[in-house]
Amino acid sequence: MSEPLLVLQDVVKHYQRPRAWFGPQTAAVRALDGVSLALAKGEALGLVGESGSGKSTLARLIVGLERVTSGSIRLEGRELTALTAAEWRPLRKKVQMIFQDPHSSLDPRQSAASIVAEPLAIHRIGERRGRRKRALELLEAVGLAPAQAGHYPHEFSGGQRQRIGIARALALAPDLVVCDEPVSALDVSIRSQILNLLHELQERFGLAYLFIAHDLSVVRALCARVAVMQAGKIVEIADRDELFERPQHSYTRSMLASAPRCGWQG
Amino acid sequence: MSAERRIAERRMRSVLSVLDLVVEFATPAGRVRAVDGVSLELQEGEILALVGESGSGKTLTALAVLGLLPPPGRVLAGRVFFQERNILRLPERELARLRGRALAMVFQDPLSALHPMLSIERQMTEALEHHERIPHREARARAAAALAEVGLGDAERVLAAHPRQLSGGMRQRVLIAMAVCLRPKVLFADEPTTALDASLQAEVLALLVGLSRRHGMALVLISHDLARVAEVADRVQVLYAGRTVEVAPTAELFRRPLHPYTRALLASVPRLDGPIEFPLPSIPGQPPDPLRRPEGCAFHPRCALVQASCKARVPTLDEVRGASGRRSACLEVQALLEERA
Repeated sequence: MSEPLLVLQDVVKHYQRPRAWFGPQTAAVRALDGVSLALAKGEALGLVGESGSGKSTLARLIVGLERVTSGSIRLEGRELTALTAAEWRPLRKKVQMIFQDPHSSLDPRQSAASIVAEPLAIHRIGERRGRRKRALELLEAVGLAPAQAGHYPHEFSGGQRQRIGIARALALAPDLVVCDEPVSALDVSIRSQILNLLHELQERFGLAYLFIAHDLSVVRALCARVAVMQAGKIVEIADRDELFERPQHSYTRSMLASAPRCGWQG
Repeated sequence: MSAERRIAERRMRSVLSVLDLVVEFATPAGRVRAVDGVSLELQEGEILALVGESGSGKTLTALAVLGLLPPPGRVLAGRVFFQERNILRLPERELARLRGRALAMVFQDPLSALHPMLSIERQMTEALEHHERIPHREARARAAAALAEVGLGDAERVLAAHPRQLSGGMRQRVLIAMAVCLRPKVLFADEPTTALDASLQAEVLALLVGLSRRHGMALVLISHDLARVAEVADRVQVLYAGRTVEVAPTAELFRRPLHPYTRALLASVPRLDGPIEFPLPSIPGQPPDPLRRPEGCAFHPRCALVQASCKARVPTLDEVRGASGRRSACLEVQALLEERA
């Protein structure tokens, strides 16, 4: 069997609380306390847990926004934790991120096309016209019309803005997309549109997703495997049906018990 | 009994009735009719879920009832009856007296609803001393009792705390305690659980329901999350683009939604059981831009049952023929009924 796309081994991340004036040094916050997981190419792994469980910290470590305290993160067999910033740069193309809030994650002064083309410009890929052409293709792939390419973020609805964020994440043809609560800020009638789009793009481009969400039903729809986090640890990881039908850990069971159940059978 | 008579009787038993409320905002781009003729009936102690997407007018309806519309919003038409008085015509002084004591509201974001620099004690007792004209010591005891009632047993510690020293769930409980310690007849809770984790959401909802049942306080749960509030509400009122599209007892709404929007909304909520098939059912298009609402029924561009007449006529919220006690604002509701039969 070939090496998985992403392997985390015993990842630990501590944050030092800022010291009060003349106060004693306090104990570090253990945001991640020994996390191990593996993600295959083209796989969608869900990551659920309450706020403060360490989901977003994990995402920030994987995309290289922060450094681990200890442990190992390997992408296609390459150890990331020891890399310098310059060595990281070419690898960033392989791992991209979609953010929760489509309002604050897009530059309000740039048109949709230039937002999507920006990662290409940063990585000096192609010349200007080629980048624009690619941006238009990506916008079309996420369901936006070419006529909207020149529009600015405020001219789009929340769902359309999230589509632009998805197109931007795909610009560098990544292998892995880390999605941090990508639909939780969207209206209910728009959520399943975006889930359908993410599913379609996964099949089309062979993407792997690390899909972070607190909404279990959303994770269930998109992810074949699900990891449950609590207090910086993964307490349960299982295939979708196994996890939802036969949860093993008491924390998973209580999460499932407190989720709303929609009574309508359709 | 005739329909009019039944409605009239219902209104007599209502603690609050809102009739044809219209709220407008003057913006540089034009006038926005954010609430376009919403009516609402609340029985004593009843729990009503007011459900809709962003821009549907659910929060503005509540703010208008409480006289808290942010400028440049204003009530253009409509009446709000509380204890047989149209409170929209009350002078601000009198309305302020009702607010808090009779009608209260819990806001979505507990951090911004609390003053960051004042202790919980100061914030809780201020309202009590002002409304009830009682001495500080008595107000403090009432505040402590209210905190205990919302599950914050260590009331002394909470009273001494500042908002940032409390967790999100505790802050939300403090706000609920503040709202209920004046024993209001009606409590509006605007997305009371949206900012909370799933396990806390269930707890806070259960708390609100418990308070409502115990004190006979009517509760309006304003939410975008139909599945979450439906578990506890007696009735559900669904808003779309500033209008009511359907009102029904909760169980009946889920058993048989009688508006295409409600039906599509229920179908597009991902489920925790059953098979998963892509594409997931979804509603095409976007919620309408309030400045450019479609002619006729505002839902028609996204509707699966759309007919030519839907583009021309605005449907009114009427009793559905063949489904007693149900009301829906859809010209094609008969087609929907037959489809289900």
